[in-house]
Amino acid sequence: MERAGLSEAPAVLVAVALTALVAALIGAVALRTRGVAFAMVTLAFAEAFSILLLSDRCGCRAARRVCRSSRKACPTCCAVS
Amino acid sequence: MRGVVNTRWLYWLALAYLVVTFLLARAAVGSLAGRVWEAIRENEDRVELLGLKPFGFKLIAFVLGCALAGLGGAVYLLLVRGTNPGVASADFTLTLLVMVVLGRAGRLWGAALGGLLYGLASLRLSALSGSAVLDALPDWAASILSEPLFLLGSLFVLLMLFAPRGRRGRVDALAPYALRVPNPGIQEHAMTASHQIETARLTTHVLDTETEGAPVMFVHGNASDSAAWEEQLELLDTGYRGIAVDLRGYGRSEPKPLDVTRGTGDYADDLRALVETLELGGVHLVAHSLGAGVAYRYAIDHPSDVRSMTLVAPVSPYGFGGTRADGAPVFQDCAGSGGGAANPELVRRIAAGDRSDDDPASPRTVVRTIFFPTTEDVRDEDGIVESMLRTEIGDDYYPGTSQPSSNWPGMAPGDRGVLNAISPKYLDLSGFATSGCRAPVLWLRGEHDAVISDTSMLEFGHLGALGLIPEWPGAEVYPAQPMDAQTRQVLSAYADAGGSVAEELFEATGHFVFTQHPKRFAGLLRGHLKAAG
Repeated sequence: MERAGLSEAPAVLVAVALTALVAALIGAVALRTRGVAFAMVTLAFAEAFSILLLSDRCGCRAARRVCRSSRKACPTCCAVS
Repeated sequence: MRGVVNTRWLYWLALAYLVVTFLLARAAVGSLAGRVWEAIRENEDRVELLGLKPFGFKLIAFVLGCALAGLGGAVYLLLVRGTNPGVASADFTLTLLVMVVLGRAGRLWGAALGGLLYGLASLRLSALSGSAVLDALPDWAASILSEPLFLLGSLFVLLMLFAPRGRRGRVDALAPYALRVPNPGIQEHAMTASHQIETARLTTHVLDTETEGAPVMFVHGNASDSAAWEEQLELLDTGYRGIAVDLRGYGRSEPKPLDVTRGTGDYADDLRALVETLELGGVHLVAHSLGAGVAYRYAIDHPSDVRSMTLVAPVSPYGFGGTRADGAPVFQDCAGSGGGAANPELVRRIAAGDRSDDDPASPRTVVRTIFFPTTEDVRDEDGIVESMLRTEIGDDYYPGTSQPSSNWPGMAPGDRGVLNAISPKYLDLSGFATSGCRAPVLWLRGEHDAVISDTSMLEFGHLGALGLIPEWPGAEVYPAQPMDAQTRQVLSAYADAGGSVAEELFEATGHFVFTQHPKRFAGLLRGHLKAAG
């Protein structure tokens, strides 16, 4: 957000809007299931996101650059982005 | 927000977030969408059957929850002054779940309370792990107590075991145990016999315990048959003869068209012919739903031949659909009742012998969503489906004919078939109150009955009020039919005329009271029969 030149308050608004957008996309998939399956699908998305963060500490753009140079460095990130 | 000077504001920021979240959540739950969310929580299949798409409503809840969580994340970032990938881990997600369970799911402030409890517990339990108290304990106890996460986890497991769905869930889960009253007088009959009886009017199929004693006649409801009573026949006290009858057009009795202008008169006359053929004399009547409409008629026509009446989820004495509290039809032509009120897809699937749960209007789905309050409450599902599939379908049977009407909802009763016979156009049993019948009446009803109640899911006034039928003219013009209130009105007039009436409510119970709680039902019936003599 700092890179985009946003101050804190607008940054929060953008973050919340992005969260809602991502939630709508994931929800559209996950809510096709019910009960235990629904819990599993949402947890899977959460885990995927968590792994994505762990494997890439400096933002996805940097990650993509790294990916191009060495695919072995962050396989999960390459798979997702 | 940076800098030591601003630290004190962080507390107020977090508190403000709590208040904003709570208010937003409360407004959401109180909105129209919120009512649908509650309905989905209780019974998603029923919501679907009513024509609403749960998917959209669930997606709104999902997005709203995630957006609030996103906002929470922004506050959390400021509180902990930075972030690390660990907060996106499953551990942290599960921690939030533990908080919700601690505060008990199902109420708004539960999550806040749970968060508070969790925060306190994790602080205090960590303090405990380093305190001197543990030194006095044996090693194994000290090592357990010094693991705060182990203690929290155990607490979580215990809560999940004993309060799976929060407060309401626990009450419901315990209900069956509370109702299991020992009843030594109940003996099981070896078997019930199935007979075709040739009466003067109809080849009538009955299930008969063939025991010695006063006859108890069981009459089933619409889209059902004698088999629904099989369990109660087996639970019937010794000293009685239980007979469950198939009405014409249902079960294995001969299908014969009804004269709808006589309301339930044809059914009652068939019953009379059966009583005469079997030379039963005075009978105890136990009647469910539509069957109660037959029982009222029988009592009006033969007041001295009824020993007692047990009315289970009885159809309103003023008919089904489109009447006001005093029993007067909403419109002159009784629009909104009769053969057109049935779900055509359900009719088609009964005719096709559909045993699947493919469609919201499949007989099996209807049993799960309309006949019982929740899917977990369903008992004898296959039996009830089979009974329903033995319903004769057609213009002279179920559901019957219909004609267009200029009044909302655009259709009025026709002149053939069962739903027209029980429409207010042809059915008025309020004369029961002054019929001269003095048999004691026991009225049993389920708290969450979705068929016969003041909030029936099959009645147009209530469906209109729920916003499920377009262009509802409003409660002033077309109110939901207060079926229970109408029954109470006629039964209290009956009591004023000298009859005795007792009402018993089954909590968290649907339309099939005797299937959902067979032993409690049998116990009450036993007491009622005994008192009637």
